[in-house]
Amino acid sequence: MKRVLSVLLCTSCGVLGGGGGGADGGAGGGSAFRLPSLPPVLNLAVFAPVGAGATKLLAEVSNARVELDPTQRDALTALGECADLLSYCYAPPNFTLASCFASVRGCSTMEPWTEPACCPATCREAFEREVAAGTAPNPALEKVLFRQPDCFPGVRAALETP
Amino acid sequence: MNRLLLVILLPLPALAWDSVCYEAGGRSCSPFAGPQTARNRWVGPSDEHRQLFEQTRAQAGLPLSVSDPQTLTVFTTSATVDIGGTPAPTLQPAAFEQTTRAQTRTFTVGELAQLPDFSYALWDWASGHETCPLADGTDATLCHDFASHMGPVNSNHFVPQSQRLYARVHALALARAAECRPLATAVQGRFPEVSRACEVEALALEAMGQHFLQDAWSMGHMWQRWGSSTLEDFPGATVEEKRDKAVLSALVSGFVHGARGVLQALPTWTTYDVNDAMCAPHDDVRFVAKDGLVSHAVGDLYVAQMTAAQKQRFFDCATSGLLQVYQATGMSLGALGQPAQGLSSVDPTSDHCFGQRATNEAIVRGMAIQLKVIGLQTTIPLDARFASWMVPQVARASGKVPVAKKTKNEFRLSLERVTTMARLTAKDDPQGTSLAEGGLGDFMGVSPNGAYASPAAYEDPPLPWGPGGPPRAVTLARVFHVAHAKEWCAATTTAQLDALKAHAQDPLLDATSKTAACAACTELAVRHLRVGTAASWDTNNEPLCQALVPTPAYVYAPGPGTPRALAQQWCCP
Repeated sequence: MKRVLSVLLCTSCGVLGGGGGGADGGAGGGSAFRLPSLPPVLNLAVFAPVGAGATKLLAEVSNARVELDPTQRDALTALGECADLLSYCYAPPNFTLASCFASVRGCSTMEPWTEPACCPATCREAFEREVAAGTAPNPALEKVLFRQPDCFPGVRAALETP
Repeated sequence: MNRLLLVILLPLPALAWDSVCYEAGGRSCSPFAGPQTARNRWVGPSDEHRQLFEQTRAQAGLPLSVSDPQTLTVFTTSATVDIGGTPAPTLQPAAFEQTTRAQTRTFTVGELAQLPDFSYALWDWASGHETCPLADGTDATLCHDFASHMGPVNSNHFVPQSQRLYARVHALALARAAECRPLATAVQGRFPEVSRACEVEALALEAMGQHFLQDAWSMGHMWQRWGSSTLEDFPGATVEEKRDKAVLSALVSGFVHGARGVLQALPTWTTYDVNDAMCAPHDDVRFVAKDGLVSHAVGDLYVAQMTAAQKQRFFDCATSGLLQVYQATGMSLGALGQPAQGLSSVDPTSDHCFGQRATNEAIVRGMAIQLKVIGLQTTIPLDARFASWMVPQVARASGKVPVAKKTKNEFRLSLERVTTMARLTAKDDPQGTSLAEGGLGDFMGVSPNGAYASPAAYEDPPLPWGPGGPPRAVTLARVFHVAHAKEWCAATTTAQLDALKAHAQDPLLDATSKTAACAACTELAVRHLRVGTAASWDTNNEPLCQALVPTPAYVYAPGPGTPRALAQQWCCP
């Protein structure tokens, strides 16, 4: 009951994403001027806890299970936060990926997972190089953040370390 | 070969319109997979696939008798199969001259529209779900468990694989239907059960195929989910790695598809209404048909809320397919009535029926989790940060364990990429369909299903199905032995009839075995029995095989008596 009430309160405060544009970053189109948005604050209260910690159960079926550990702080969580800063900010045609990259907080350390959400300057520079070489912005972002994520500290090691 | 423990915490509903299995007392089948589901009926609350088929039958004007229960007598041995720790009689058909038991299989054609959610193919159903069509030695129950085995390879329930699979099964149904028409002529009303049985079999094939057509009109299926219908296609150095990737890509596909079936059943979620897109109605969830029609639609568990355009298109396709098959038969089950008004005749295998795709905006909505909490609509987006928090686990013999760190991070990065790029694409072109057309890219190295074109090795064999064919064809011909009377008439020799008789008269058989052996002998012998002697017989009472094949084997039995009574006497005096 306490969990339900807290979810209810958070919904009414507008903190949780509503159904349409905000939480999903706006999926509209057309020529109307659109503002960038911030990633929503996520409330995991609806998910059942696992043990005494912050871990939640997302899904469980007969042969697989997915838990959520919001306390995870590593290169991939930092990458996720950077990606969200950009994808929620993106509001074509007025707010491009380039302008979003320029406007989001830049990381101040080589360990972005120890800071608030940020995007490393190395990734912005890598993105700009790709675009300058003729790659369209979306594929450029995909390449520098996900396909060849060497601009983001710690990601390569996270992918290759057993 | 690593055998996975059967750890069923939730019977995961199939990623499809809903399919159900209920035991005689009304309880959901337990286990909800494998041999138990082959022994029970698939009728009851939420049997959406069956409902769609029955509505299709009615709208197409097929006679009511198509919906009648059918009962097959299957001759088996006294072998047993383990079902949840209890031995049960096998349903696998035996060679007739080895019969020691007779089992019955009762079903309606409409129920078999659910078959692909329980079985890998019609031959698998005919085998009682007692073998593993994946040919990896897995226990039959586990092999048919949706979450662990069928789900990871159910990419052929999604477009475009579902289009190719429906086309193959529909062609098989048409080919079988075409065999029924001359059968009806040959028996000339004397043996109507044979032509009716043939038509039932052809319609059973079509019902099974229509499962994939039905799925193609479920909103959650209007996109290329990741994966192949064949485990070998998945990346990985070992079978375990391949299965892990198949399981994980199926799980993520389920979230895009609509997660009500998974989440609603969790104990802590039962007070919520998990109206999760893309299956639940949502203002931003639409499909675009090949001809440009744009419409809202719903999916699994919401069949009663199908939109008008969705229903119109679906029933145009489904009735067209069903009519093609029925009209190809001799229509012994009854004359066609008037189809429902407003239907159009279309090619059911065409892009008109399988070209619909979810919009980019719909895909992004699908990637979030929608639910109502005390009536208030809430959305939890599956964005990159959310993905980064995920800790996937897969089952091993010891229970569920976290995947290797490298796999976990590959999972997280892949999902971060998919969710991010989908969001960007949807903002650029919300009403486009590039994401559904494979534009989501790979997930953990698993491609969207359009990249995998080969049919699965477990699909039904081509016709003819008869005693001289490969094992699966023989299984089908034994279970549908009345429908395949022609093949059995052609193949059964005098020596084989004598062997049937000898088996039925074996003094070592116990009473139950003898009853079954006599029944099998009678069933085959009556088809070859002439009343009289080899020198003089009743030519007004020729047996079935005389009508079906040029030179069948004959047995002779002087009257008086009906052919069946005389056959029984011949087998078991």
